[in-house]
Amino acid sequence: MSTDRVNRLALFIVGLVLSGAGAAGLALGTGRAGEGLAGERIPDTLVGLYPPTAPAWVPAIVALAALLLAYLALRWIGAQLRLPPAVRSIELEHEGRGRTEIRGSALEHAISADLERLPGATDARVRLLVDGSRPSLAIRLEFAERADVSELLRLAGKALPAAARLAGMQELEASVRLVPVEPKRVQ
Amino acid sequence: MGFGMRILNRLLAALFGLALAATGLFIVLEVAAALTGRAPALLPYDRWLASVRAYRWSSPEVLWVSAGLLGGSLALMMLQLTPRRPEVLHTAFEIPRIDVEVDRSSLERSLARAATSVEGVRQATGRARKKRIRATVEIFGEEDGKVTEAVRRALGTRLEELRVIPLPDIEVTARALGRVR
Repeated sequence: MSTDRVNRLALFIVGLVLSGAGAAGLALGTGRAGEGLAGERIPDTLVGLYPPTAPAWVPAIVALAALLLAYLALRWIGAQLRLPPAVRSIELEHEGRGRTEIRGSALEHAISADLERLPGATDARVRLLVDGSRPSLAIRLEFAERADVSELLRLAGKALPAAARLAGMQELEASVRLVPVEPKRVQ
Repeated sequence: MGFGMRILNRLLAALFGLALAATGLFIVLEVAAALTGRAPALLPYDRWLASVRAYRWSSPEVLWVSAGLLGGSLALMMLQLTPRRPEVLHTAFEIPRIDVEVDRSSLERSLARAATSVEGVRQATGRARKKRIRATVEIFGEEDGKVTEAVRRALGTRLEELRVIPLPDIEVTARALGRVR
């Protein structure tokens, strides 16, 4: 599930819990939860962390639940800061003591440069990501909106196998986000 | 989801996440302190809880806080349930091992340019959803249906060029600026 979906779900649940608390407060205060309750003082143990009369196992359960809440909340905060995992380097050869690697950023620049040279393309941003155990490409391809998109993509499709060979792979999957731009922005 | 809404949700998520994490850790520490007879350890929550007894459920303060909590949380829930425009729209381009999508906000600007290129249109804006494209155009002179139809055709052509699937319905709203002298 994407971070944005997690946020929507989690914020909805937070809203649901808080609205329940608000509705309960209103119901008690307006007498809808019982005429006698509205005039009663709010008990200080209702929201107490550890009521003195509670059985001995209650604090342990409360502490465990609070620990779980804190853990989930920290994971939730962490998800806001997480970026899709990028590939730092790909190992091409490993013989004896020697090892040949290609840096992920170098491959990204090489593919961007190839794509930007295609007719109609104005800018290309490429990220090499880890999709499961295999690297894949996320490409943002800007093009002049009057360009032949089919031809542009056909040529881009031809450029990718070369990039895969450069990375020592048989094939490389890619997702392309097309960004049509105004012709006057095209240099 | 729009970019602004995504940012707002991320800020809210960070805010609520921090509050929940702090509350959870605070409870763990205070329960541990209470078990060893050293409560309150971090904050004087016992005094705060005792001060709560000064209020009855029907106190105006309690009612206002409850109403505010209910209103705010309902607004938060509605915000999450509001349908949002997609980040990308799918396309029918079939390139081996490549998944092709169109950036929604760039497509909207492109559609607005396509609409503005129609003769008689002064200004246009476009809003794209997966199933519907809404364009609002300001036109010179009186609207007789021809300009609206021409805009619809121009938008349809742009969507077909980009092979957007499923092809959205196109809705054009024209605002006439009156006769040009």
